[in-house]
Amino acid sequence: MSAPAVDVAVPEPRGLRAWLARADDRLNPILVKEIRQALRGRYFRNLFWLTVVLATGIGVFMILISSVDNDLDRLGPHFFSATFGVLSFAVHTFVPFWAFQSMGAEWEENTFDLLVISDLRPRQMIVGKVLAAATQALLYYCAFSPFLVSTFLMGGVDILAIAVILPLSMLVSTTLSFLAVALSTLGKTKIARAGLAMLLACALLPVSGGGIAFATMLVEQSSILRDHDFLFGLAMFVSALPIFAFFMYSIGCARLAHDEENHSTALRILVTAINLVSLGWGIYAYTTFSYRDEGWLEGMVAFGFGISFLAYLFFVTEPETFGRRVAKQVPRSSWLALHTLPWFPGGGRGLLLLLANGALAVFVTAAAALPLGDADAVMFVAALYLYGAVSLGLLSGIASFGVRTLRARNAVRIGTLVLLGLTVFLPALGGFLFDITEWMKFEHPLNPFWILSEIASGRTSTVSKGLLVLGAGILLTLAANFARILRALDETSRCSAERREREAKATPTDAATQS
Amino acid sequence: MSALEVRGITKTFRALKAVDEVSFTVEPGSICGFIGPNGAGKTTTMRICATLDLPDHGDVLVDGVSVLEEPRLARKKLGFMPDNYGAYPHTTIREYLDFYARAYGLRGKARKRTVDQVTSFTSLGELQEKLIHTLSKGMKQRLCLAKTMLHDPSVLILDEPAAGLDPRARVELRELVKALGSMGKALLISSHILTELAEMCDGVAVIESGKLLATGRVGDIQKRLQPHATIYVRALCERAELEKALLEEPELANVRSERQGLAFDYTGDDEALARLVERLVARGLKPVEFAGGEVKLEDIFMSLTQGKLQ
Ligand SMILES: Nc1ncnc2c1ncn2[C@@H]1O[C@H](COP(=O)(O)OP(=O)(O)OP(=O)(O)O)[C@@H](O)[C@H]1O
Ligand SMILES: [Mg+2]
Repeated sequence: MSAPAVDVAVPEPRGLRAWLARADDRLNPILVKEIRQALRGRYFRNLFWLTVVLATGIGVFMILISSVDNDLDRLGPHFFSATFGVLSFAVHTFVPFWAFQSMGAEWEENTFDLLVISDLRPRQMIVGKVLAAATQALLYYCAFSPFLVSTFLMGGVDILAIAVILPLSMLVSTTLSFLAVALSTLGKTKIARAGLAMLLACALLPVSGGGIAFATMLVEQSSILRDHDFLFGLAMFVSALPIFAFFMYSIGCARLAHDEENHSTALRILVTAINLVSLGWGIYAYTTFSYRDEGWLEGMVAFGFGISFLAYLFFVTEPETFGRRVAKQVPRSSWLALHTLPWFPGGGRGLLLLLANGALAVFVTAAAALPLGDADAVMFVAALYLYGAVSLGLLSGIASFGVRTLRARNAVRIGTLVLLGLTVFLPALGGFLFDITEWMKFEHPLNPFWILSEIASGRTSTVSKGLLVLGAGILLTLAANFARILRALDETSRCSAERREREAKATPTDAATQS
Repeated sequence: MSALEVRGITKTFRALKAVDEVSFTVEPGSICGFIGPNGAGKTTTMRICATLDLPDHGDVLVDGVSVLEEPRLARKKLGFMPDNYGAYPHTTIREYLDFYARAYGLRGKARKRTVDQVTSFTSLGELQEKLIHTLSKGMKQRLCLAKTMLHDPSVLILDEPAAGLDPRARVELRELVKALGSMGKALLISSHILTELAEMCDGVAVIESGKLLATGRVGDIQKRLQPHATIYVRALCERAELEKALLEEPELANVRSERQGLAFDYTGDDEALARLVERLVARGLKPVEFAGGEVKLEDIFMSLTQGKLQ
C-alpha cells in the first residue's frame, strides 16, 4: 500500500521525460485502461505465452523433421509458414475476439453508463478499443519477429515477401478489430451477443486460415510480387481495407452515440466514398487494361452498391423528422442545406441519397464508357440503382405513412429483405409448379439479378418484360415516396430558415454583452 | 437559476408510465431527498437527468443546459452515481480514478492533484493500490462517489448511495454529502433510509407510481399535510389536573396521554403557545417539559404514499 499522497513541489521534468509525460496525457484513456487491464488479466497473458511456446515447439519440430529428411534447403519457407500460422491465429482471431469481448464487457459488467456520462465520445471508445487490440497485436509481432527473421537467415525466403506480409497482416488485424468492436455494439443481450460472437468467429477463422495460405503462397512464389495484375489486385484490396474499417467505425460510433445525436451523416458520407472509390477502381481498370469485355466497371459499381445495400436499408427506414439536436445542425445557407440534404438523417432523405449516388455513378460511367461506344455499361449502372431504389424505397415509402416505433421500423427492414427474396424465389417456385423452364432457372422478369446480368452482357432485348416491370416499380415507388420526400425538403429548408432567424436574434445580444 | 430543473418529464415503458409529468427544482447548495416506494420511478427520473435515458416529453436543465439538446455540456456539469454499476475488477483504485480523470480531459499534474483530492476527500488514500475486485461494498460506494466528483460537477445525482453501507459508513456518507452541499453543489439523493435523508436534506420530492406527490421543505410539506402541530407537555401535578386545564384552552384538540405527560394537537401560532404556557404556570401546574413534536419524514412518507407497487 502506498503512503497517502502529499503535495510536494516536484521539479518540472525535462527532455525525454517531459515529452513522455505529454505523450501520456494525449493517450486515449480507453487505451490506457485496456492495456492496464489486459496486462493484469489472464486472457492475454496466458494466450501470449501459449502462442510463443507453440511457435517455438513447432519451429524445433520442423528443424528436426527437415534434418531427418535431409530437406534443409526447404526449411526456410516451411518454418515461415508454421510460425506465421500461429501468429496469424493470434493476431487475426484472438486479438479481434478480445476486442469484441472487451467492448461487450462494458455492458455485461455494467460499466457502460459510467463511460457515457464521463466525457468520452463514442469515437474515443471505439478507437481506444481498437488501439488496445492493435497494441496487443504489436506485442505478438514483436515476439514473433525473431522467428520470422530467422526464416530469412535459413534461406529460401524472399525478404520482400516478409516485408509485404507483415504490414498487410497488421492492416488486416486492425480492420478485423474494427469489425469486432462494431459487431459488439450491435447486441447487448446475452443471446444476441452469443449470436454475434458466432458470426465473428465465422468471419475471423477463415481470414486466419486464408492469411496463412496467402503468406505461404507469397513466400513460395515471391516472383508474383513483380506481376502487374497481382499488384493491381493487392492495391485494390489494400484500399478497400481502410474503407471497410471506417465503415465499421462509423457503425460503432452511431450505435454508441446519444439517441438525439446524428447517427447517419458519417455513414452516408462513407457510402458515398465507397461509391466513389469503387467507381475509381472500376474506371481505372476499364481504361487501363481494356478489360471492357470482362465487365470490370459494372462489377466494381455493383460491388460498391452491394456492400452499401444494408446501410441504405437503414437510411431509408430512419424516422422522417430530425431530432432536436440535428435540426440545429442544418446549414444556415438554404442553398447549402438543399444540396447537402441527402446526407442528413431521415428516410426520405435516405432515398434521395441513393438516387444522388446513382446519378453520380451513371454520370461518371457515361463519361468513361460513352466515348468508347459502350452504352451497356451506362444502362447497367442506371438499372442497378433503379432496382435499388425500388427494392429499398417501395415498402419503406408505404411504411412511412404509419410506422413510428423502432420495432415497426425493424419489421420494415426485415420485410424489405424478405420481399426482395420472395420476388426472386416465388416465380422460380411457380416455374416448377407450372413447368416454365426459364422461370425455374430464375430467368423471370421479377429477378433483378438475372436482368442486370443480361443487361451487362448486352442482351437487353431478352429482358424487355423485366424492364417494363422495373418501370412500373419505379412509378409505384415514386408514388409511395412523393409525400415524404416533399416533407423532407420542406423540413430541411424550414430548419435552415429557423437557424438563420435564431442566429440573427442571437447576434445583437452577443454584441451587447461583449461591449 | 436553479442548478437542476426538471420540467414535466414523462417516460413510458410499453404501457407503463414509469414517470408521469414530473417537475421539480433543486437550488445550488441545497440537498434534495428523492423518496418513493419501490418502482416509483426514482431511478428512471435520475437516469433522464443524467442524459442516460430520453424522456418522451419534457426536458431537464442542468445549470440552464438542456440534457436533450446539449447532453455533452450537461454531462460536464453533473455527476451521477447509479444505483447499480460495475467497476473494472483488474484495476487499482488509483488507476480507476486516473482513467476517469483522463476521460474528463484532466492532464498531467492537474490529474494527479485531482485524484489525490478526491481520494483524500473519500478517505481512500490508504487503499489506492488495492485492486477493485478486493474491495468491500462500502469501499466501492466511496470509490464511485470519488469518481463522480472528479470533474467538480455543480450538480450531483446519487441513486441510493447509502444502500449496503454499515452504520458508521452511513454516518460518514452523510458528512460527505453535507460537505458537498456546503461547497455550493446541488444534490439530488434517492434513498429508502428516511432517517438518514431527514438529517441531511433541505427538501424532499416524493414520488409514487411515476407521479410527483409533493415537493418542498420537509416542514412545509408537513404543514400542508397536517395544519396542526403536535405538542408534548409534562408537569409536576396530577395528569387529570393538567388535562382539565388543557381542555379549557382554545385552538387545542385531541388531548391524549403520552409517556409521563400529555400530547395534544395545536393550531395556534407561537405567540398563542407562549401565552398558554403562562396560563399553565399561573394555575400553578409547574410544567417541566414542553416540546413541539418533531417532523418525521416517515410520517410524511406514510401519509402521502399508498404503497401501490407498479
Ligand atoms: N428498462 C425498463 N424497461 C421496462 N420497464 C422499466 C425499465 N426501467 C424501469 N422500468 C419500470 O419502471 C418503473 C419505475 O422504475 P424505477 O427503477 O425508476 O423505480 P425506482 O423508484 O428507482 O424503484 P426502486 O426504489 O426499487 O429502485 C418500474 O415499474 C419498473 O418496472
Ligand atoms: Mg431505483
